[in-house]
Amino acid sequence: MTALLEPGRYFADGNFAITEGALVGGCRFFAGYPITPSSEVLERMSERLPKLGGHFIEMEDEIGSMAAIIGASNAGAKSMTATSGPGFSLMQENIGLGIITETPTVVLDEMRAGPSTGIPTRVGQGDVMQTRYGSHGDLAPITYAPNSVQESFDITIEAFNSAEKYRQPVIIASDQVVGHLSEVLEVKPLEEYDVVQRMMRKHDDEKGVFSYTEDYVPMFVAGTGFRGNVDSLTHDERGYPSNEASVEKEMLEHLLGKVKKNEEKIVKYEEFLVEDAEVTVVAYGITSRAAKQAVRIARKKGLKVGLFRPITLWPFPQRRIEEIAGHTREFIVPEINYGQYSHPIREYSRSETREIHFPPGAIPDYGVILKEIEGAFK
Amino acid sequence: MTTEEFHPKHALIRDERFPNVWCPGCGLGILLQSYLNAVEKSGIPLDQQVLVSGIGCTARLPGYAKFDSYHTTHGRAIPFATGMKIANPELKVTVVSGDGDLFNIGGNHFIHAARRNMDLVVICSNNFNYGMTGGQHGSTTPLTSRSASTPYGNVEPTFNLPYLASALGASYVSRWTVMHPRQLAKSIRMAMETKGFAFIEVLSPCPPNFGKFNGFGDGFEEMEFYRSKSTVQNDARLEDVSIDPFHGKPVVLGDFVNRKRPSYIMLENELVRKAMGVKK
Amino acid sequence: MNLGIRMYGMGGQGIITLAKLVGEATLEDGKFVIMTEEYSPYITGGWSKADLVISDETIDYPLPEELNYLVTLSQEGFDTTVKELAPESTILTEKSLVTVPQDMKLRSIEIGGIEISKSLKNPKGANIVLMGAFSGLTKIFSAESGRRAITKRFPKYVDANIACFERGYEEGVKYGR
Repeated sequence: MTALLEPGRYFADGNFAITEGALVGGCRFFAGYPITPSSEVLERMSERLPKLGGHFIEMEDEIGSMAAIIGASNAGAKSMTATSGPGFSLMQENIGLGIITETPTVVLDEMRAGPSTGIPTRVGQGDVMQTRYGSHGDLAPITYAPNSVQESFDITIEAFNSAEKYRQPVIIASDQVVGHLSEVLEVKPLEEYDVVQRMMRKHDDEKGVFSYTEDYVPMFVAGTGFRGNVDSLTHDERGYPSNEASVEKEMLEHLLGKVKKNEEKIVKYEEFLVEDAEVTVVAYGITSRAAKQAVRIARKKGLKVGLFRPITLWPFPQRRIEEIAGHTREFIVPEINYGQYSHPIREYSRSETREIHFPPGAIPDYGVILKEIEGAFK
Repeated sequence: MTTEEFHPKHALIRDERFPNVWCPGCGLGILLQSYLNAVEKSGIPLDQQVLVSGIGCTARLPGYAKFDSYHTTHGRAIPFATGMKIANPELKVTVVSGDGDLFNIGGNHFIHAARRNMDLVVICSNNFNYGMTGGQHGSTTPLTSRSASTPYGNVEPTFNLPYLASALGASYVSRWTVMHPRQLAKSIRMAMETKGFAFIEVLSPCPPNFGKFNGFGDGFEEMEFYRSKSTVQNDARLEDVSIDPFHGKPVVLGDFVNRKRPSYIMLENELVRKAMGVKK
Repeated sequence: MNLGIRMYGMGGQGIITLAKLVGEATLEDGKFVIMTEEYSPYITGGWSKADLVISDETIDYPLPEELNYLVTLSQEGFDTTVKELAPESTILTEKSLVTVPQDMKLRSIEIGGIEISKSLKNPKGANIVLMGAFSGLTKIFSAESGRRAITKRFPKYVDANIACFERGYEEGVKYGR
């Protein structure tokens, strides 16, 4: 049996890292539909999964892919799909199914230029709000945005862990550049990775299929004798559908609450010279690497500027942004879109927030960010 | 009255969920009963039986049966079931949903699952319209018949479901009505024994919608109409079995296809074993 | 040290593979390296290019500050990149495919990678010949690391490719400074 990736240093791209990270994280089922720029994940999965005794299927579309990974997860397999904007739009319906049925799974959305077909081979960051609000109804999604090959690997393992811990689909919003750039990937010995195993319900468990008083109860898996009902309709703790507004309230507050209450555990970010920053740049994904370069140069020029990089886009790092707003007078949010993440930054910082709109299609020019930083000090 | 007295199939149903949502005169109770009979006769451990459905009246059926049951999104039962079956081939996965769910919104998934010869039992309860949303027409509504959205009569030709499933390579294909509960139960059992894709079309009345729009007094009258037009012909030419009872055409029933073809799970299992380096 | 390198060619010439091998070998030598790649939208026959940044320190920004080297297997790569090159840059071209103008001010070295690879009965190995030449010429990565990167990437075709690499290396060394 071919094992997981050997420990060592690799010159690898983001798509390789996500695939191998997923396998370390326990992924044993992949369903997907080919789409630029994430197809390499699907291709590599088709080669790697069978060797590990896992399963791969290329579905007829992204709707079917999303349905299949939720089905597979309910049959006990840690599962995943990979797509980009157009496919991600098709997946929204069943992302909602994963949320309401509390099914762990992982979705990679490798963002490219949009809207619609856009430029398949070129970068964009226009799906940020879609990862938050894309599926209908109230949601508390968990979305990671890696900015390097190393982080693509590490965060995919974490995404699988979060999916299990919070029992819902977890989204990795990477981008075309991070997916395709090659750089060093250091892989530790397997035992050094913390991998959350699927907890399964015992069939004689007295409780219902769900619990609305506990944030987490182990999931029941098909074929283990539980004989429970899992429903896309609003349901009570037994899993039975209900038309009652009171049941909707109970269920929804549980679905939102399990993420909200654990926000401090889920939220991840990286900071660079933020402590004394008068101006803070907030950037994620590939844009954060241009921003860091700009901040570094600006510091050399004596400008007190820092970089806040959300690694989880959602849940929003609200507490930390509020804290930073205590000493920073202005935020600058560069994005490869026309202003998305700038909105919650403005909302929660209650501070002057400048937007930098990089048109999708190219790696952001750090000179543009530098100029905006200088402008904030004039 | 104890629950045992309440229903003879007490052990196989969630009797706390009754009464069900279905209308008086609906055929879905008979379909549920036939399914439960098939399960009992199949000898497959109850814990391995899984029911998956999409959205609609028929899609509520799994919620009343006491097995692992999954009520998914509209049209997506088949890909959901596909994921389940591949992830755990020990499961006996049955998809039960309506004509609108499986063939209108979910048509693409149906054709691909049949083409793959995916190891699923797919039961389509065909009532010729969208019942739950008030009786609008769909791809199974017979020509010229009325519905909530064809007030002047339907001008669209229909799918011929057994012909479609067979052309796609399904291992097993049959059609019955809810007035043939024994044949139906036997057919479901045969489908459960099939390796590969097994498809059963079940004609069922929709008294408040399709029935009412087309002049049937109640559910029984509609059911009796299909039964009276029906003829059992296992070796029928499937090209000719489209449903058009309002223009004098017989409703052809039977176990049309039962053939051995390599199934998806067989082939995929072989692939995985080879990739893992397991010797036969 | 912070170097920018562009590799340019037509689809199918193995230009991305070449860039990945250079990246891998440089990494083996303990340096930091990052590579971005880009293609024309045509399925086959279009251009492809890769940019590498090589540094002694961690690299944040993935694009080169300036281009110090161009390795090209196509005339288009030469024509489009030559004006972007920094002063004192070095250009390495495939002799049979690229014509360098007489009045070229930058240092330009022509290697007959296609001819050499054919003579070594590895006609697909022109990119590997250029890789060897690049190593011999610039010493950005050692021959040893180059060989190791090739061995890792082509476990089934090690000998044929190492032969191409070494012949290229010999050619490159001739022009080394």
